[in-house]
Amino acid sequence: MSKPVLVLGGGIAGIQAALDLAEQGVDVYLVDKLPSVGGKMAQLDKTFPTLDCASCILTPKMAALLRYPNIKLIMCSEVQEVSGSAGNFLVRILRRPTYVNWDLCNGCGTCVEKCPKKVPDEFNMGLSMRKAIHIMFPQAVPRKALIDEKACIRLNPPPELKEKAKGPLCGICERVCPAKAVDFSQKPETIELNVAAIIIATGMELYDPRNIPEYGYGKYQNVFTHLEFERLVSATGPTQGEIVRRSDGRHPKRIAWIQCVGSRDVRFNSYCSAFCCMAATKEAILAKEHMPDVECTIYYMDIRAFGKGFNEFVNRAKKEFGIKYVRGKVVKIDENPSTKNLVVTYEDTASSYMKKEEHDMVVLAVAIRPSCPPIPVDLTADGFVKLRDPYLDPVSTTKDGIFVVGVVAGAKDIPDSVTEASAAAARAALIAKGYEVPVAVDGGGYLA
Amino acid sequence: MSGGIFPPTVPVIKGGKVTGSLKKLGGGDLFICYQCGSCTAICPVSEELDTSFRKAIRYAQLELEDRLLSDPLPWLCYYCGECTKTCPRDAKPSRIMDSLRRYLISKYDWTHVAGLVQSSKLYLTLANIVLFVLGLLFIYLIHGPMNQEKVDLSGFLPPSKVELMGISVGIVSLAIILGGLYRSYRFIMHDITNPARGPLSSLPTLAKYLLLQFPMNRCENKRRWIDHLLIFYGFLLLGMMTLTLFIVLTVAPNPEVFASLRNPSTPLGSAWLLLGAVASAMILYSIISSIVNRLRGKDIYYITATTHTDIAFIIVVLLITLTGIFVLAFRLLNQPILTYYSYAIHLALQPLLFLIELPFSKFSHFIYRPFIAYFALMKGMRIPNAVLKRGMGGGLL
Amino acid sequence: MHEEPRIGVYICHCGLNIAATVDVKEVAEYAKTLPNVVVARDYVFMCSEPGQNLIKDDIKNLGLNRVVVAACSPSMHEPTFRSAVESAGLNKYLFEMANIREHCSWVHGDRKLATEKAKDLVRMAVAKAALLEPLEEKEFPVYNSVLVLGGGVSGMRAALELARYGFDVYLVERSPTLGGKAALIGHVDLQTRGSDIVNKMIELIRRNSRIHVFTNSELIELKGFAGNYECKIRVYPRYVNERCNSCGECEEVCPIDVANEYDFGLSRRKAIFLPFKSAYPPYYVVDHRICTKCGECTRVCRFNAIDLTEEPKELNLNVGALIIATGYDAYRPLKGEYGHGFHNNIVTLFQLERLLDPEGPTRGELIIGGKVPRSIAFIQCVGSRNTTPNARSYCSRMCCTTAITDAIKIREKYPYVDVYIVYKDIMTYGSDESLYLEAGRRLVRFVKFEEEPPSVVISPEGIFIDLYEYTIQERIRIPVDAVVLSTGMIPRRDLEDVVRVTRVSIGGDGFLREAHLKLAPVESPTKGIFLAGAVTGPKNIMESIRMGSAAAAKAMDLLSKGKVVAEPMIASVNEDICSGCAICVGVCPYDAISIKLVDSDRIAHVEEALCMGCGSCVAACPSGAMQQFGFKDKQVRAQVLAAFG
Repeated sequence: MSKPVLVLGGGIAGIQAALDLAEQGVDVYLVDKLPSVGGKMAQLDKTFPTLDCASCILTPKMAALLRYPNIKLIMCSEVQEVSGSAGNFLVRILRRPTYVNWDLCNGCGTCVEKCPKKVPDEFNMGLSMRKAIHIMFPQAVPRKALIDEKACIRLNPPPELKEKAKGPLCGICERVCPAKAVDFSQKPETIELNVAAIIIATGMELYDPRNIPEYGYGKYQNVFTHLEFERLVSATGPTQGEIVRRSDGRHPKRIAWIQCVGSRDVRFNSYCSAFCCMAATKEAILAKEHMPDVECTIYYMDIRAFGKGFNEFVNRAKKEFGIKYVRGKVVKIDENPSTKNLVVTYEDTASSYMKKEEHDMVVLAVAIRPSCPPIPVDLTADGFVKLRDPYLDPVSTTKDGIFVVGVVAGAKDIPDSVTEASAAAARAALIAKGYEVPVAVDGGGYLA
Repeated sequence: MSGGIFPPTVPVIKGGKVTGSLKKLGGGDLFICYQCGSCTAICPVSEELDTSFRKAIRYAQLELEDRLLSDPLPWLCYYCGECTKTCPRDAKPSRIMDSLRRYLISKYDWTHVAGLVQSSKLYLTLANIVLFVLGLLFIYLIHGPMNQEKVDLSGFLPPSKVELMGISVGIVSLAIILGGLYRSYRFIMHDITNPARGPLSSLPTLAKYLLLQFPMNRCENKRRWIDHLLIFYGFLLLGMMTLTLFIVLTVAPNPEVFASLRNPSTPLGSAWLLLGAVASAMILYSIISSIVNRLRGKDIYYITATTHTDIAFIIVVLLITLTGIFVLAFRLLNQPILTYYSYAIHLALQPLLFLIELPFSKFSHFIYRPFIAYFALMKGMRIPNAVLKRGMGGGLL
Repeated sequence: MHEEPRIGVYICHCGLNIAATVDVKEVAEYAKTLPNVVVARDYVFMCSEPGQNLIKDDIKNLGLNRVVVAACSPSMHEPTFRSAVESAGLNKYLFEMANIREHCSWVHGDRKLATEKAKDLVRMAVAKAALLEPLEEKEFPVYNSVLVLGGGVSGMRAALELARYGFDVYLVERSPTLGGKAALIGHVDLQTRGSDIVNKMIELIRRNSRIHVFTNSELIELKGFAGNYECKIRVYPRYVNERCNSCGECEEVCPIDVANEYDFGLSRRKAIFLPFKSAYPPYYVVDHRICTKCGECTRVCRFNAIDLTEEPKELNLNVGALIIATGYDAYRPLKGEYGHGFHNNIVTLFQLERLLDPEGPTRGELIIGGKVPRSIAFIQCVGSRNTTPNARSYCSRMCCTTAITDAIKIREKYPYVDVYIVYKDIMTYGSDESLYLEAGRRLVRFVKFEEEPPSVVISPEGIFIDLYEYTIQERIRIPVDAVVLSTGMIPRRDLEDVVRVTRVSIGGDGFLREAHLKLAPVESPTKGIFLAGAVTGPKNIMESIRMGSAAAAKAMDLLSKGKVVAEPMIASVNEDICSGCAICVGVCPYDAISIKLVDSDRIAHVEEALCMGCGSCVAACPSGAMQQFGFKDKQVRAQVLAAFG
């Protein structure tokens, strides 16, 4: 009999690990703090260098999770504490209340239609609105509704209405739900799990570009981050794939990508975020595909096109799509107050001239920051989860029985994350099935 | 693409001399620069230039000595420090610029003393002490009676002998400076045989740089500009006063005027005294102001770093000014012996200023900056705040 | 089936991938008019859960018994939809896919014509779907063993993982020793040597009784299918056995002398040699390809360790899966390329690693041309990134990090040596960026070119590197004592042997192709064959090791259930019609067909387990006796007729 394994994080790496574990007959708890699996990849339009539609290759894996009876999805949850050792970990998880009984909810969406309250949609990076009761995105797995308690009028009544009204407000969703799934009395739930091994796959967040005020993010409307641009260009995004400016809703004619914003910078994060050069190239190509006359310029220091097909992809971008690559770090962005266009200041190192160039939309390649969970494993100086020995014990953290995959261990792209996920799943499965726990050998590796 | 014969003007990178020197001058971080161009982009002066500061750092990294020597850029920098704040690698570009300036001074200098003195605290201290001792020795040898009743400076140190010392120091100092200036001219002009602008038409820019201490005016902290103006004009005033004395004493001798100038009880003398006091006050104020600023640890000074040559300059000028004030004070208080000693020290310190500080340290910036901007303008380069005649493609101011 | 076909047709938008070019609603409306179609829908992402639910609900509620999905390529989502169909209770082979993405919306621009074509494709699919028959999958037991081809770090890692899981592993390595290239790479990072990693792995392998190591061996034949492979390996003779104590006397008398590939050509070796100090097996070997059998070595060996009469052996092995981890070759510059071959002081990056290795030909001293150079320049991207006409188009991923690591090591050991790195872009991605900063602290000089690669000029005054420096916009000339060409990774010259035997596919760049670049990076398109390490493309050592781990994991996925399920779309013989002409036997690339006697009639017989469903025999059969399940003549004929309306 085998014990379950905890996979922390439902992005592509976590999903792959869960599927591999389930395939080998191991029980899996897949925990994510969001209501749906999919992670950052679900927010992308296309992936480099193949220009595969990200949803097309991701959603089948997401759907596959539901086909395995031995995978249990625990959403809207975060790990509070981990104790124990390999083969016998005690994990305490806090599940946020969704105020919807997911055993009854069938994702029909009636409640969403009727809800009166709108707030910015995080999945669309705030570029569109969603309701207080909502389904995270149409292809969400699990496809269930949840209530954002801060936005909900019933759960968090605005003070001025609260006084006037007698008794609870709104509650429309409860009334219209055909499955009677809405439950305002839900409380946060503590779940205790006993697992044999843990795979950390918690992924990343973007470094907040407001930390670098010279770029004007948050102040200037037409400055975006990568993820915001991905949502704009996605067919299922806030604008159905129309790339438009925030200030006037018009298509931009000259878009700029600024690389290394907060990366390779000793003042912020000194490491390189690995995939932003390729992400910018891809986005520029997508912009060209959507609007053939748009001018795309990428301001870079080094073009990191190191992976399979990457250099050819960049060559294609230059020759086939006419995307301009300018070597020079942009130091600041100024806004033209009437047109809301942006002027970037940089040195064109190819000519040794300081230049100012006007664009009507700017996309910042912000650094990634790892989302480390509160688990007793060592971290590197940069804040990523540390590998015990990358050569002799790949995917292991400094604690036996806890593995780490994906970008939380270091900036990398999707194939590398998926590779790690499979490797970690097999290691975790060994422990789960009761094989001897790997004993660390001096210098790394384990006794065979 | 295959190895061909390149024309002889292709710069050849030679082994480590430039970077070795720069390392000694505090610019050792220059290889940390990864050529992103942030420094150039943020530099307030860049927009008015045809070339970039990053390129100057690059020349240093690549050991392209003659490109560095012909580059006026380090002199157009007024070390505001923005570049160091913006540098993503913390390569401290303003510090590199500073060390480049010192490097250039050591190259312009034909005596080879500059390099020694700038890179070694020991040599600098030694040089100062030796000159001071020599100065005192000279005074000891030529001094006259020390009248204890009343202050008689002319008796103690006959003006003609002092003048002799002054002239010899002045000639040597001028030789060093002018030599340096000439060499800098040759380096900047490099192989240009036909300068783009004539020396006369470029003069207004020179005047601006010299007399208005441009481009210091761009400092956000106006005090720096004011300090520079005060010290420049303070020294200029003192210089003109000394020149006047020289004329009245030797060129067109007029002993009465000379005597009354030197006599604070006469109206001319007290006016002279006042003038001197004002000049000294200007210098003293700006020196103290710069010390205070450095001690406060303000950004700017962390960025350019205070080196031993800066400290020496401050100390020497401070001492000269203070001793000058002492001379005045003791004279007024009728303390002859103290006056004589103060005067002796005051004089013995002068060679330090003119033979070491002026030609070899930050003080020389007052000369080099305006003139090199002037040479660069003649060469046809764009200079910030240049004064160009209408129709020369630059517009006025 | 005798029941009436009730077909459900689903048109996928695939986001905008299809919907931008094809009017999906029009196609769905059209589908409703086709014979036997009960329902036709369109949805934005058919492969997603709600999309699949449309199919499942319709099967249950509308009693569908055939499903057609018009979407992307079957190689993408046929399994997805088959699963969906099956989970609703219908045989998964009663499903047909029409590719209106790769075959339509992605290759055409005209909306009207593309929509018409999509309708044609849907009509064809519907016509075939009506004639589909349910098929049953067969299960086969699997062998609990894996053959790992390649004894480098990637293969060794895979072997260790598999042994841990309880599998028997046959580790087959072509060269006489385990270790691969990593054993020869001195600086994997600032603290780690390649040989340290290799030695630890070899130590663990030696102690593991489940791993059977075959060096000096090749895979010469592969038959079977996933879970049930029959391999034949040939073990070439070492001529030296374990009585050898590495005294080296044989080496001295051996008359054959060649360039030593274990020093990348920097030194020479004899036909009888020890590849490197910690080679495994840890004794001498005779290179069977060049040995003349003169017998001098046998004469001087005091330990009776040499036997030149040894013959190659062939072994048959039954394995459940194959992992290909054969690594790469270092790019070899052409003679004259960057001056290579014209001056002894121009070496490659791999040769430099040997020079810096304490166990290398110069004991770790940077001696090039007889002395330590006063200045040394690395030229990056040699053989990569289209820098020269002979260069590949890809980036070789590890050369910037390796060159910078070497530069730091050189500056550490010889602080007076000037080091230049002449580069196009510095690819120190991720946390390797800290190496780039460290190099700056160590006063390494970086020189950049862009369009025009640097030239190496060899003159009587010495070696110069001429280039147009990008950041100062001038041509400069750098005099150096030595040049290191940072050569990239290329596919092995003998990769074609592997491809011939295993029939895996090669990608456009000459490396082996993965099943899917993003989501199946360690699987080959052939089920049961996995890929690890640099055989798929340039990888650094850590990445190769990780892939070895993952490939082992995937092999375990396949074999852990104890059985595999074979695709039922195989050929089958209609014995009544078959005349025993045996044409099919010759055309089958998998040797799956044989002639058997059935009641004294010669009849063709298809070995179901071996048949891959390629269809060659079906096409070759003159009588039509050979048919393929899922592609029967009548089904295909219906499709073809439907194509013309």
